[in-house]
Amino acid sequence: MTRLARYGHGVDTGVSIPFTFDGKPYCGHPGDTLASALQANGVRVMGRSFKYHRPRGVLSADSTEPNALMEIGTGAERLPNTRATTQELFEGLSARSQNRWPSLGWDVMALNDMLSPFFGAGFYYKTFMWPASFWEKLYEPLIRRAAGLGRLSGLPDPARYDKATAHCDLLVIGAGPAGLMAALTAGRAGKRVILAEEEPLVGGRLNGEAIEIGGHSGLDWASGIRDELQSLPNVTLMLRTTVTGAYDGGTYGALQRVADHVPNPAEAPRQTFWNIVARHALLTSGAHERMIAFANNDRPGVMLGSAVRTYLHRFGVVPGQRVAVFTNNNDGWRTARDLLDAGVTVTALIDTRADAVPDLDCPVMTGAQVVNTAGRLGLERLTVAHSDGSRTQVNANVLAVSGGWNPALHLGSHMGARPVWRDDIAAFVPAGDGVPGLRAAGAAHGDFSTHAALQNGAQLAADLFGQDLPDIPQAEDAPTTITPFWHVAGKRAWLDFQNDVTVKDVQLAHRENFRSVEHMKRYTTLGMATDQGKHANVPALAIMAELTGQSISDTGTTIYRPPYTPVQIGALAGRQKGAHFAPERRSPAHAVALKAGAKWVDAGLWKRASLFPARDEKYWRQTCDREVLMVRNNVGVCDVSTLGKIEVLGPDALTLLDRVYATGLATLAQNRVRYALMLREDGLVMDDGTVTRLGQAHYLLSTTTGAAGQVLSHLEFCAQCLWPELDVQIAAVSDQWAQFAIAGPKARTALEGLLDGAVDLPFMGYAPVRIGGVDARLFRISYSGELGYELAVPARFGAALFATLIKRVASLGGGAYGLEALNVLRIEKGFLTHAEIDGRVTLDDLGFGRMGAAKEDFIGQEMAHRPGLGGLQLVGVKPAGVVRQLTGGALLFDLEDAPVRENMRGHTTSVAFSPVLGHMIGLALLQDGRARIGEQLRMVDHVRDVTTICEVVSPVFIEQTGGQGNG
Amino acid sequence: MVELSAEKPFAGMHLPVQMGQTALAAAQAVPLFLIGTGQAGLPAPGRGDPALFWYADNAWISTQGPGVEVTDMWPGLDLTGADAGAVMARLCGLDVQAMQPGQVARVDLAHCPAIVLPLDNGFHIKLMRSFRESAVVMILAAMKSVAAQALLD
Repeated sequence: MTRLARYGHGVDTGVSIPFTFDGKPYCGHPGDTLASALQANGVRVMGRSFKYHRPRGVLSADSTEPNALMEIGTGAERLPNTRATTQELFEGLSARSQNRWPSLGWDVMALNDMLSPFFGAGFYYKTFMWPASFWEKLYEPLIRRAAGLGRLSGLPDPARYDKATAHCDLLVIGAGPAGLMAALTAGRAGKRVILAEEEPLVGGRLNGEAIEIGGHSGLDWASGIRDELQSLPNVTLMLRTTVTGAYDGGTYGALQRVADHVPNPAEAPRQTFWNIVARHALLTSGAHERMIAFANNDRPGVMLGSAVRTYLHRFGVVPGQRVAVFTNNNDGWRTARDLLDAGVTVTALIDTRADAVPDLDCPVMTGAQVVNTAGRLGLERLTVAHSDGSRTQVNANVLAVSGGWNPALHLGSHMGARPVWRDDIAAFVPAGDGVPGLRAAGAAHGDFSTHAALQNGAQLAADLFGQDLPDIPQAEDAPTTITPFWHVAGKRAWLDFQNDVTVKDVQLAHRENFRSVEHMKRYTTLGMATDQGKHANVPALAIMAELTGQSISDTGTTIYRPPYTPVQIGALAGRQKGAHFAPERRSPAHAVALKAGAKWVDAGLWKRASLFPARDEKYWRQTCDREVLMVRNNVGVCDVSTLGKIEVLGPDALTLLDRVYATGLATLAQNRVRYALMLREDGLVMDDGTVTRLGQAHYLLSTTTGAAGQVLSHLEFCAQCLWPELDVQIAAVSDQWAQFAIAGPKARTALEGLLDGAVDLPFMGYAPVRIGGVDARLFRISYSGELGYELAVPARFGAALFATLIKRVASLGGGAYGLEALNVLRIEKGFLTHAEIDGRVTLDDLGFGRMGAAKEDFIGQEMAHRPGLGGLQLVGVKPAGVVRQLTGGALLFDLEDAPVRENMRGHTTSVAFSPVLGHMIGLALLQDGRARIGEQLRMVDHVRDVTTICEVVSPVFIEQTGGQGNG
Repeated sequence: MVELSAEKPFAGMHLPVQMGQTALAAAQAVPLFLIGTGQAGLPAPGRGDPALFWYADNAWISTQGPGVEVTDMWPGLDLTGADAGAVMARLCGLDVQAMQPGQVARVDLAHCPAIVLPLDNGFHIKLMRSFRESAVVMILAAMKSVAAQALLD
């Protein structure tokens, strides 16, 4: 189909772009949307409606489109529910209609339309109940199949998305006349401006009209402004960028479509989701035209008048040879005038207002209403009712409807403020202070003339930055004259096209007493589709207002929520998916462990080696048992670099630490290490670790891997907020040092010859040492109970040291060991992890009841004495019956009690198979545990379905180990 | 006597690299010390240069000791070029356009702890050591993205 000559400024008719729709090949031009190209090719039916499967055509020419939803692309890239009105055409674009089978022209499910009396609003509250047994087997699967609009591919999305942040003095939302003037005013004043525009071109409404500005075409004016803006380094023009939400603190979400219109984007992301931080923002988003509801107003060919004008001016397309116009305000006359100028036949202008006097060269019917449409798969004629009761048939294959304008105020209500109704324009306008820092101008503010847009946009920007007003070019300033007219009484008249909700449904909601707008919305599902009811909400609440007798103002709107248009979850995730979901933390010895064949486990963000399987080991227990025995009998090396390390220095270092820890530290001599516990303010144990005195007023704390950040925060809070008078310096150095445990009877032998100098440390001693001239730290501490040391070097030497250590111990019958073996070793000795220190235990629970008794005060001391606190005491458990299995997190019951929640006496915290003892062992927290040693209990794991008779024992399973001995 | 070799923090990450209008390179390695008060001329919060900058309450990092050594903890990179700001916009929430040499900021860079100091032609970025592989992967991805988008226009 050829385009109208002299029209279609937005397309380049010299270039042809091939694309397919439902498998059929078509051609369009650069600048086309899928909707304009289809219409130019005579395609009228673009989809089937959600519930009734009625044929539907395109209604609009923008992102509010409710009908023409397409699947774009194939395979993993297939994207459903894409509006044909915003999808830019590109070579090879493949589009398919939705919600129809087997084809758009012949849809089996159109049966629903014939059964429509049974599918009214809320029908599913009254059906699918009997018989009850049918629900799971029949009704639910049926409903699942019928529900939803569009299909996902089910494959991982291959596209890349970026997330980014931008800052500005002024964010202008919408590059129509108001936005362009505002951006220009602020831009010329040197302010940092971001002008965000949803379309791929500036101009807004100017692109769809024949409007003059300053005596020239509005388009030329807009191009000139755009060129000047692009020349200013402080102005950023972001086309194809929808501001999707307004949030706290002057931040706005915005979705930029970087490559949705590009066939081969290569390495570019498909979209970027922006967080824009704006000191001020201007909502110059224009307005959306309204439909009027009348019988069968959803027939393909019934469109918004402003959309007909846009398809004419911007795309050079009129989707039919005979056009009728139905309007309740003066704007509708513009459609007739523009079409007549283009040489199109206007078969009637139907104005609801009896006193209207349009001066047009076409048949005019005033005080009249469209009461029905007819035509199979598209409009062919309509029925008009006159004020005297008579009816006329009008021939038309396009009906351009103008029901008034709704300011696009959504962003202004995203923080909960409700918009304000104005009777004079029969529309809602944004609440003035709905979003701090956001003001509206132009049509978004309810000022619909071009002059008002230019003036307001410039004025607001000028006022914000104390600038003089720039020259406002001449433009039309027609007043808004509208007589509210929402719907024509009669057969089914559509309000929400996307969710298939009619006036009858709203009336039903009213009859069933769902009369508030929020109830009406949920009961009818009006406004709940992907278009958020942009065309449906206002007429629906106006009709509800009529029914209840309340004013529209009192009836109010439902809550507006971001995003303004649909945003893919992928765009919100950005690069954080798959392996990059979270950053990975690696110890300095990571690569060495990897080479040694380590298996890995996640410890928070850290990757930690859990096992070092030998070549012939097939099952993890083989490795774990071997590593445990290796440490108990020979020597093993374990990477403990991930534990938190914090240095505390200064004259008041001891004062601070003594208040923070329950453990007394005043007697800790230089070069000594002490095991220490710290409490939360509420008296429960927060973390355990060691305190080493490196110098006179210099201490080094260790924390568990998982609590490093928490302990540092806690220390900083104490030093900065509780006791700022203390002269103390806190230095987090976790990543500065690589640290390795060397444990086992041959541990000292392994170190001899490694260090520059002899190894001679008492148990719980510390010494600064050197390795090949490198300053290192040696601690004699043991988490395994065996003779043990920890050796720390600056991180850059960590890889080399780990490799050296593994080689040295290999010659002694030892090797590397991982977290699994580390865990078995410590459970055998009754040492703690956060499985026991779970935030609910007291010092006494853990067997440290007398810790801190001698101290004046420390954090948590007071609250630790509250009656009823804690009470689950640390004990050991071992299997005592036929079943030999223990599981972690299982519940403990007295033998005579039923294993139900009310009879819980405690739970297992950590379990392991002890290769030394030959059976499973566990640590547990048990009511009055210490008094019950020797008794039998029933352990029940309801999740894994394991029941084991256990004996309560001391948590120290292996008493005699070499750790504390002289050596 | 045992010899321990020192690992370069960004070895094996194919640096330096140039993509479009940005370059990423390992910065010159310098010793770093955490120092407390008790020294004259310490910069105010948020201020400093790579030789001496504010780090936290009562804490600064200096290339001169004495102090607690943190050299290994904060390996440094230089991100330079005309599009360095556009790359940074995709990595952190800082107002990089407004930042000037003489300022320092501690941020999450692609969710990794980092210290950012503006240079005349880009940014000096110190990364917390254990996060550096993940951070570099994300920086390179952002560079690639910005370079590819420039080709689209």
